Amino acid sequence: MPPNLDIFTLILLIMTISLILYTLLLSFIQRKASRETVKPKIITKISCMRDDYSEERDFKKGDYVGLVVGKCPKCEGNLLITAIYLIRGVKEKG
Amino acid sequence: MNMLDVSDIWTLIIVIIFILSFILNFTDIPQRIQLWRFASYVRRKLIQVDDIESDVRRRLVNYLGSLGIKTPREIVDNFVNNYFLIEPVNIEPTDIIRRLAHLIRVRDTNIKSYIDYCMPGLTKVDKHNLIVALEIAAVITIVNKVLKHYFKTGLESNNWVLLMQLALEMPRILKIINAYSKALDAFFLGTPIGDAAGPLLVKYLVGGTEPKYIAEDTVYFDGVMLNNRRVYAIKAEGPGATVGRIGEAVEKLVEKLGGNVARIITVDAALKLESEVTGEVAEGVGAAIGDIGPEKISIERVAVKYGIPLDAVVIKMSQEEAINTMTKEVYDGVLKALDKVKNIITSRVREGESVIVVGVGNTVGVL
Repeated sequence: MPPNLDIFTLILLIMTISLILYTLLLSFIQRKASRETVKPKIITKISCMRDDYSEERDFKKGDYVGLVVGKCPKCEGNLLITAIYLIRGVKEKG
Repeated sequence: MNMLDVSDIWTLIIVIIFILSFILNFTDIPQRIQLWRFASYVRRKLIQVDDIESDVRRRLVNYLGSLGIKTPREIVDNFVNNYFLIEPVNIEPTDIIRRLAHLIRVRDTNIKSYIDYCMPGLTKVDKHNLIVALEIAAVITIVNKVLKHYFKTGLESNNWVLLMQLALEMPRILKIINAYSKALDAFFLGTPIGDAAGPLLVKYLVGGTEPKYIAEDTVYFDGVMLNNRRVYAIKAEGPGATVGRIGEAVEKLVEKLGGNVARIITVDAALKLESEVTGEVAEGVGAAIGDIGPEKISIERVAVKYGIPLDAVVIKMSQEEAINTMTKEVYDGVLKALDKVKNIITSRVREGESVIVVGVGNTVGVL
């Protein structure tokens, strides 16, 4: 220890450095968390009325549950939108 | 500088402790510091609320623009600053429900008239979705105004306790405001929200059965048979965003059937506790409906009048999930609830009897 550095100055110095490091670490963690965004995806589930066919695709504006969207490729019955739901995507850096 | 000896250091420490103790115990300085800290924190959060409010209005104005409206800003501003509801007198409780129902209906009618007047030619679906979107903007504006009121009151009266309470509640309030802001997209797109769990279950139960009008914005389904039990189902009329008049519909349907109903099963979304899992299904007794009174009491009264047992099935979700696009977890919960409802019908309703299933909630995105 240098001769002109007393114990109280040393404690004060350590506390100041710790405070600066803590503040920097906290802001780094917060910035990292804000960069990581979760991108959700809306899925439209389409099924045949006779329940022999189903598919999933991305949601399109105008979709709603109960909407007839075409004919079943297997039985020619009506294809209906049976569900619309959101799946949480993977975390990605924005 | 000469080094202090040990006794000098201890004297210094004792003097500092004494001064600090005096400051902490006999002055307002700590409270002033806290007031300053809490005020600074709340001020930062209020800036965020302001940003959210502006963003919601901007998105709403753009949406109205996309519908071909020429003066969207005026329409939004006029809506969010008006259409409050004064609750009826409650020190005289006689017929309070009828008075409340009347006021709610007058407000609904006024809002619909306003939309029809400002934006003639909108489809029913667009109109209903737009009304809910405008309500969201109005709610965020009101919350922002109330927060600023308490903040300014706290500052003016140096009430650090009020500011501390505000500061402690701000994260939770911001979370709710953010959820409302995000919910706007669901109504612009017309996707089913978590609260649509009840109507979606009814849709699955009745399949392709044609709906029949029973009350304003409300339909019922007849002729659905489940293991020789006749199932009547009620839900709001979709796919626009509306909760319909479920209570009135149940009352009318039961009266129409002369009270010959074995059970009434209500299905609704319920707010989960933090320890509960989204999509969890629970069953109980009573009317599962979250309105402020008139619809729920209609169901209870008609059930009591004819002695009909009331079953409640709820699908648990958070407030954010309830007002935003339905998540996969909630959707899975709907399928589980459907099984539970079918189980209740087959186990508690005898063959040849009738049962009413009520899908409570906002039917946005569900026909």
